[in-house]
Amino acid sequence: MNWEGIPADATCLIYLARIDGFDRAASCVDSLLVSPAVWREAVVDGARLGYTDAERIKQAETAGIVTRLDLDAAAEKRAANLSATWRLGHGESETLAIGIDIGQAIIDDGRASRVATTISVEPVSTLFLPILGVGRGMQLAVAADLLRELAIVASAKAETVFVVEEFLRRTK
Amino acid sequence: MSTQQINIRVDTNLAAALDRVARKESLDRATAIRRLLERSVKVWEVEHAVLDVMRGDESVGRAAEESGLSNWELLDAVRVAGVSHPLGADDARQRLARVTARDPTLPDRPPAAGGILLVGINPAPVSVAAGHYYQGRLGRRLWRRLERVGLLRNPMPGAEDDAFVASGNGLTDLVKRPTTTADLLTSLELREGAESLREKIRNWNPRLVLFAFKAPAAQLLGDVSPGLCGTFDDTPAFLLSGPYAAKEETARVDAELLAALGDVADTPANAEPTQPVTTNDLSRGEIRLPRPAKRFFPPTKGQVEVVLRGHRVVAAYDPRVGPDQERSGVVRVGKNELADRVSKGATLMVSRGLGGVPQLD
Repeated sequence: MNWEGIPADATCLIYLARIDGFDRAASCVDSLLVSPAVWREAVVDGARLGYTDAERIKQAETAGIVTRLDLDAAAEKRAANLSATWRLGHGESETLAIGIDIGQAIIDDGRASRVATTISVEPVSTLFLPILGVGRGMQLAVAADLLRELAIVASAKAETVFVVEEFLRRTK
Repeated sequence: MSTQQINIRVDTNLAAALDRVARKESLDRATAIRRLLERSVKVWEVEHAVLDVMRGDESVGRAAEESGLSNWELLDAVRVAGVSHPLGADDARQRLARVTARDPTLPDRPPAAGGILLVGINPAPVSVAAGHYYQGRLGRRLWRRLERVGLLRNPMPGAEDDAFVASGNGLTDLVKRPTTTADLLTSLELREGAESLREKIRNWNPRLVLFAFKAPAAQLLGDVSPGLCGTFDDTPAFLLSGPYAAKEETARVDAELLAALGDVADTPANAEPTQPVTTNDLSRGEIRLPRPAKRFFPPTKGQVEVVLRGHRVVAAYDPRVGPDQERSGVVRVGKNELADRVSKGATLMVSRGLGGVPQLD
């Protein structure tokens, strides 16, 4: 299948929803590709349980920042294999199944990131979005603010944030 | 909801505590016990899901599924438990180095205004190592083909790009990252490459965008087939047939390219007028070029090939730049040649023709 954009798992969507960061994410990537399971986990479950931020993901889809995908039979099979072999969640498995075609996926979970590397998918942390943004012309100050907000919502380690900040300056 | 009866024995203190809870909550004892059990099981599930994620035994998604929690709830619980994002500094450094890697590549070679822009997919490592475009097997074949159709003149083997650029043409790639095969490029790279290519075409304003391979043309123009394949901001685009196309198909496409180059020769805006042809000029067989028109000719005196009203002729050219003052350049095509094609008083337009050969119309 020929997909465009970068697949993202539920954690990325939840972090962005919590910081109201989809508009800024649009400056970092062309589109966040969302599989059916990720949509269910991030939007349907979130709304059912009263997480009002989940509505922001719907709005991002309407704005074209989030693109919902249907998986073809081959991708579904790959996702099922990944889930069974590596004990990943459905959303994570589908995200990586799409990532195999694209070579990258936005994944934050440690285990899923290790699996991504094993299957030659580059795991891109949500914390890296500001760096992708600067590479595409986002102002350094805007990127630094986005990183700070993401770091708080994701409980990122201080030393990790320093490393990302260092790359931010270098990318600029 | 189906139910199941469970009988358990508890010590008297716990039984008393359960009765106290039931009284306080105005519930019967069984309902109070059920609610307490539900709450305790949920707390246990959350604690264990958090532990599993923290230890890396389960991913967030899997732990949520197995504990019956949503991803939202589990991420909340992970945060409340003080569990940090799993990405460590060293891992971040390595992954960022890969994500932001800028491999050595071939620099863009912008065309002169009105030149042809040859666009490839991405450089082959062998070309990057050589420092010249199209030095792989398919690349060298492409140069031979361009030489056959007249777009490459007097190339030095291994530095054909220099000769191509010397004719006023330019070179770039859809993606600048070198790979052994284009299959290793990601969709994201191709999309970003298309955006960047659009920008380059706008800035460089070539008279023709010549795609060596289908992928860049398809990224820019959608569904395309060999031949003239569309326009981009009024700039015509041409896709060469693939390296493994049948001979007949290659010949057909090359003929179409030659025709297209004729059609898309310098626009009037890129052409410069000669001096009006006088009786004196006709008797000497020469055409005089004011300074702006000299840009289509070499800077030094010598023999040049020109296309005079559709006919290729060899002419003697003198830019007449000194030593005291610059005068009009002179193109001597011969008395008969000039008289056959140009009449007295005519002003010709000079432009860059096929392969950079000056064209006088």
